[in-house]
Amino acid sequence: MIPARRIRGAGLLCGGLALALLCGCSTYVGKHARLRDDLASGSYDKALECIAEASSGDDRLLNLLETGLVLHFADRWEQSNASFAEAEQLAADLYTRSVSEGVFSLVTNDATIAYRATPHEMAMIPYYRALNYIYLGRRDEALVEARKAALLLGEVRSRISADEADALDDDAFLAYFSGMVFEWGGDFNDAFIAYRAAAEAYAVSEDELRVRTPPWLGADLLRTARCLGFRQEIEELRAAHPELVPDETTPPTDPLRGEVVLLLELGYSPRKESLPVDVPIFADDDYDDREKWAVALNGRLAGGWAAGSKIDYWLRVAVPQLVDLPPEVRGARVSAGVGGSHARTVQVEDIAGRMAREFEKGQAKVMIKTIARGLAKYALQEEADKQGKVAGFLANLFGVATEKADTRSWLTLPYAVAMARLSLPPGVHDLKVELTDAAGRTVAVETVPGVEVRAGDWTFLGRRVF
Amino acid sequence: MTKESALRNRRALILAAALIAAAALMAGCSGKQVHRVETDAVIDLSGNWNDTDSRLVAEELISQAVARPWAEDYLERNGRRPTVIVGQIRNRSAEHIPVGTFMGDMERSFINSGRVKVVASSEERDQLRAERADQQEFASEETMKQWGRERGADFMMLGEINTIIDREEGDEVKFYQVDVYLVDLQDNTKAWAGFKKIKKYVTRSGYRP
Repeated sequence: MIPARRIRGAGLLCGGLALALLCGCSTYVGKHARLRDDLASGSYDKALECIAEASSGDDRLLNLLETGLVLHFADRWEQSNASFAEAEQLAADLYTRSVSEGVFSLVTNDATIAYRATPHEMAMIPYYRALNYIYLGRRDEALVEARKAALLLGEVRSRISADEADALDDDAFLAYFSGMVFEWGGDFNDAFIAYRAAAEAYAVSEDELRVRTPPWLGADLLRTARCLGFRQEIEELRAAHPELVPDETTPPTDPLRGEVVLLLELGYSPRKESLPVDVPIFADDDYDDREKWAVALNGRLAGGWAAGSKIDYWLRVAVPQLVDLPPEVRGARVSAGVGGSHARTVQVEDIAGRMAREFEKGQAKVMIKTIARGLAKYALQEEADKQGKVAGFLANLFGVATEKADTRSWLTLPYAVAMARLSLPPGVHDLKVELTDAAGRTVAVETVPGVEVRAGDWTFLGRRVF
Repeated sequence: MTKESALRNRRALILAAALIAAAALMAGCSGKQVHRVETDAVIDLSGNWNDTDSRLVAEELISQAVARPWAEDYLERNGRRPTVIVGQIRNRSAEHIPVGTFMGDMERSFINSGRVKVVASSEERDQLRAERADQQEFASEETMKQWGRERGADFMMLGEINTIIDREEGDEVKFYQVDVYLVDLQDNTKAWAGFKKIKKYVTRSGYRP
């Protein structure tokens, strides 16, 4: 006969395992291990399968964002927009935070909290949605996305006026892209405002991120200002950014040519990984407040500790670390073979840089919360040990199984976006794209065939290189 | 087993059960329920433009169009009922608004009122012309429809939707204005102008249990 105590012990063990399973053993990056390879190889259905298999309630927003992006590159633009629309709605609903979820995360891990998108992730939604509508030939709907982008950036700017530390959240690329969409849609006033906002935002971003003010922006400002008769506005801009806005002798844009905008998305954004860290707890540590203790331990981790301190226990916690994976391709030379029309790309968006800054900004808070959680588990373990071996074992199992860093981020986003613009005569053109590395050496040559150009119109092309 | 160790194990069991129950609650108990509701029931979920807004706009514009005697004025001047074509209602808002729903309601009310004639839109005409072209080849002479017999519209209905959105934290004020005009195709004068304004206040609480 099996003793009742062993049966109960086995039951508790099963309970602990069930709980650990509920919390999930693998990190977000681990669950999506093959997603990036599937997308890079053009295996879109496999990529969608991977997202669906790994989907969980807390990661719902990310699942929708990843799905929307994969569908975008699979040329399933309607479905992509449906996914992004759901993501936007969910992002708005996630303004309301769950108290129980927060409490639960204090004893498990941060990945049990529903994921909320970062500013740079939110900024990419109207970009992809607008491109989807452009490809679908629905100009009015693309303009709606440009207005949404303007609204989003307006909110960011009002936040920046309260806290200048968020200045880089004013996404210059999104402002510039929406300006081009506005101009393409004939909304010159909105286009001018967006271009002006882009000029201001690039001026701030150039020092902090790996981006350059697009060399076409000055001419865009001048052209739209001329359309609207904005003399004073353009003079003010010229005074603020003398190198940006061309002088009045600049000839107007040739209305018999069309504008081609090539948006080259490069590689993959940095990913987060779970890093185990051992924090020393000294025998003479005596804190009533766990948060103060966590702050002290974080300081100990960063600044070291005095030799001879008696270490009572090594507290193991898992913290996220950002792994930067710069792509080989960093830009391109683009030519159309018509009358020497050629251009070099300029990096207009630095997603990796934005991600690094956001990560750095939140890291201290994450570290303290992680250590505080580790201390809570440590206290639980000590208490459980007093209750008996089974309880101690169960608490230990729970602590180990739930200790993982929150490695969630929009994995399929690119590392950066480079852009080239060509002014071409009407007709169908094949674009030769020489992909170059950081030193400007050609690493591959691709052709974008059948690019249709109409006089006085714009053609937007988004391409991804890995 | 001693009384003390039995008590300890029971406590551990309760602790584990509480944790598992909490985790199960976190995992959520999802279930879908579907109820039939009246088509004019007001159900606001996201705060975005929805069927209620579309219905309110249609009702208001129809009542404004009926209240003005523009069709009767035309009949008196020309001795026949005016013909209207529904043109483009431009969505200049920051939301994807399906304008076809309330414009369809307006078109239907015009047709059913008997005050005006309504001709097919440009997209519908393309389809009709393709069919007519097909008839020239395949239909019998007595049933084949002829070219050049289409009715030209006297008025075109045009309009636009604009929004003003103000947001702070979880609060949002949305103001929609729908403007619709009937423009005389001969001289570009506006024979009738209707509008509808809708204002919404959307609030989101910072926390939930």
